[in-house]
Amino acid sequence: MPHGRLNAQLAEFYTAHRQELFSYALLLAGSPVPAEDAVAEAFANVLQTGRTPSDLRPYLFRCVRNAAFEALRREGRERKALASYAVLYSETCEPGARDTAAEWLACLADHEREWVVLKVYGDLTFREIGEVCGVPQGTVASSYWRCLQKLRALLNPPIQQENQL
Amino acid sequence: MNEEEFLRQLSLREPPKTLDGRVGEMLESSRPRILVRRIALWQCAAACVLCGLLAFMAGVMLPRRGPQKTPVSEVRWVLQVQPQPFNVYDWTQYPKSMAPDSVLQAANTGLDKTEI
Repeated sequence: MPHGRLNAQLAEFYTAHRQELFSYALLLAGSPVPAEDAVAEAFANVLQTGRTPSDLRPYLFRCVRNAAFEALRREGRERKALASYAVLYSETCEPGARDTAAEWLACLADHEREWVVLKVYGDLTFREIGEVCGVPQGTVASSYWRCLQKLRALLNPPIQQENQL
Repeated sequence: MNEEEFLRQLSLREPPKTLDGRVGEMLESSRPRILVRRIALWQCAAACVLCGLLAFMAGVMLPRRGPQKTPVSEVRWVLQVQPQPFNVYDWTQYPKSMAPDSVLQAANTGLDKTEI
């Protein structure tokens, strides 16, 4: 049995959001092992504080973010060095769709990619994303919709381009 | 197809079982630390200012020490010499102008003028 209310709350949160946290860490860290470390470190940080943050979800995502960046810094790697964003997706995905999504994510700027993953896979609100990344929510929202337009262009190329090809 | 739906329909890579084990073990074994009240920076600053004011007021209100008393022998104090019997004091070593009035008066009244 978990000791204390905080541990029980964290255990419940982990069960409900383990996938989102891991996917976010995987996006930032680039490979499963440091991503796993980042998630574990985030929970360790909350346990160390000994208190429940007022808004647990953005707080934990922010902890994952910090831990992933710290791991990258320790390893001397940069975010741009990430190989393929297909690492986010399961092997069971249809390869065409997975490659399309990875290609689109690779086209985005670092911060746009991060916001999209937090929104789509983390299911965070724009306000929460702003809290996690330290940016105004209006900036996140407008950028997010621009990113989706880029994806739309990728999924449904204009007829003119098709004719040219 | 909606773009968000397209992204959401892709199944994500599952977290490894080792992560579940690590987090589960962490949450099972660790006890929350004793809650330590965190003091904000502004509270520290306010406490410092308050303590400084109180110390100043205490310093003002406490009785002050009076001015330093004049030494018993002004000559010894001026010349920084060890006390000696007055009779054997060598006046010839020091110019007369350096002697305070009290010494001169004492000398005029009790001592041989040739010694001054």
